[in-house]
Amino acid sequence: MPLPSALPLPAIENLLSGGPDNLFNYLVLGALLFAAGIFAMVSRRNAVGILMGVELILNASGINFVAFARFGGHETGFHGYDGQIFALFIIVLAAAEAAVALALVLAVFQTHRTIEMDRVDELKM
Amino acid sequence: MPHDLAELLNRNVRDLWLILPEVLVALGFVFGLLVEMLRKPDSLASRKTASYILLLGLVMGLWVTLNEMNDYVGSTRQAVLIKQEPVGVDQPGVTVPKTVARDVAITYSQPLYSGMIVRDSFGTFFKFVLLLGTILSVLLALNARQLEGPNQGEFILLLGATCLGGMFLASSTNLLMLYLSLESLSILSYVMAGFLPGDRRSAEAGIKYVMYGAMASGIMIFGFSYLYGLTGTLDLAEIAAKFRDLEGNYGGHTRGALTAVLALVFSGLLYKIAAVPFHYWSPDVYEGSPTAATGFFSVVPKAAGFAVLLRVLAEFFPLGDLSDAGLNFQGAEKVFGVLAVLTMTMGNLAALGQSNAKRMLAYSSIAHAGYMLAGFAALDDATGPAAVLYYLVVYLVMNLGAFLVIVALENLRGSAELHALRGAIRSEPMLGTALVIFLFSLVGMPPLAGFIGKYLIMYKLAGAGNWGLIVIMGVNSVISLFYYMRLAKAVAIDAPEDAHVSGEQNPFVLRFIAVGHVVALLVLFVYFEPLMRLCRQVLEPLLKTI
Repeated sequence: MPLPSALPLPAIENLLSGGPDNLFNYLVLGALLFAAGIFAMVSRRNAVGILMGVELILNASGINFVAFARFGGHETGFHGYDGQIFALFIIVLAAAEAAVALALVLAVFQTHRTIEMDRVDELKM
Repeated sequence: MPHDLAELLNRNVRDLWLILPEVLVALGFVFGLLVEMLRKPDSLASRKTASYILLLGLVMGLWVTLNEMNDYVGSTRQAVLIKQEPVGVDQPGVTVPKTVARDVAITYSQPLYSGMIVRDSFGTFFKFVLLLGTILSVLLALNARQLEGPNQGEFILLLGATCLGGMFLASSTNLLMLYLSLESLSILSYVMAGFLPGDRRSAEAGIKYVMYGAMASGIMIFGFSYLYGLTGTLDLAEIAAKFRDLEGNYGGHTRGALTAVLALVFSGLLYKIAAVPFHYWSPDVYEGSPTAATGFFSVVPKAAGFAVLLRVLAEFFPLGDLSDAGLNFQGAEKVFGVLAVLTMTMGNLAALGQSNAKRMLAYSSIAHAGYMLAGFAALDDATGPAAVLYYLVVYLVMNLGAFLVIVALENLRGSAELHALRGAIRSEPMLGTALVIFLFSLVGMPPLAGFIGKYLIMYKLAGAGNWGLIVIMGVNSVISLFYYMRLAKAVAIDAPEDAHVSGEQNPFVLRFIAVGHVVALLVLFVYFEPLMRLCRQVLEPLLKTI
């Protein structure tokens, strides 16, 4: 049973001999970045550290989008430019989100004199 | 698709007429922002001008959506007439196709801007709900002492811009548009949560909101990237169609991958409505934010979240289609049933021990999201989702009403802690009474619309034979009675903490709006039929036969 053509996953021998430029490698990179981002978000206590985790997650998605856009088979109706445009928008929105988040980090520092998230915990039941 | 760039541009400009509500809100926001920037910093007279400009845009948008809704309802009536025409009665073998009525209604779902958004009755209904919630929130923010200061105008303009994001979210049919509008809704909400300068709790609420929100949207985007990779398109309908192909052609091979991707996507959407595994942010954010913003958060982003959840759900699990064409339909029902039970139980139990009215209402709004999710536990026809839409409108009226009174009482007492609100009914008899009525409606007491909302959802569940969920909803309503009545008792029965009576009065307009809310709740109880019919009609564009 063939895999759908929208999913050009290489066989394992091609993977080893075909060099670094194939979809599988990019997806692995994306997944690793995503995992690193989630790990940073749950393990960091520093607000800026958590924000870096967010950036990792967003960039992992961006890499996925661009990789899918490049390797998707156009003959199967794969809208190649969609993925690249989406990646651009991710970059733009990541910047917007980082601006707001850093402004809030600054507000927290002004009121609490710290940006360690476990010491910013007045709102608890 | 027109290849001529000039024609494309022409069409895009022409299509602005078709998204007139959004355009009006955007104009109100932009002009309000200009006025706010250009006014003299210390002139009191012009401080509220920007807010009134925005309010004008919002009200005009509301008026336009009302007119559009009227058109849609008219078209559906016409459709019913076409259906009843006895075309093939006396000719054996020729029958009137059942789908005539539905097809006529679908022609009113009109894709715009290269399929980025769609203009249909469903989107218009939600635009109406969002605009109504925003207008009431703006009126609330205009009268909140907590926000008074040189920046009040900016805060109110943010409410309008957030509403604009929600309106696009409710009508987006493309992952890119969905992401953009969801983020504009979220990022502006973060700003509003942390808006009070130098306030420790507000800053904490803002930073927590942005942390949890960024994580949820990041996870959702990662899911989107795989949706795109698996299907090669960003259009929701095409994605759903490709999903069915993949499922049909490769069966079990792809089911794991498809389920995992959908779980990633839905976790981002469920975060927006604060359903249980993704609700951690909401009590902290609701308690720390300015009270007017809390009222807004509990209604507008939640309504937008339900709109997009319903739209995505209807694509992947076609409503009213019980055949195997849909993707593991019963599985989705079960998942939503479990989520509903967890959400309502968790929200109600946690609300029991709260001593701050805002935090209590935050948990209560989690519980109400649970009641609404219960409507998704019966997807065999559109009645369940229609009941959810009805509940959403009623919830908007009663919850914003409750927050209106909390804002007014906070103006007098300076805090939303229960002990600070004691005996507030003596200084504000009308608003205190209104609060008790809103709380009774939130419980679901009969002479008020909250009862009909719960009844319609339970009725649907009974039809689907889901008695366990009904019992759990009933038990939850009883639990919620305890904490709502604690708040009602504090405000209406307890003696005030100190004899000090401040001579300050709330503006008359707050009392006027509160009475409006109460009347709306009574009217929606007695005449629930027209709204329920409307809710069913606006779901027509989502009912696709595959």
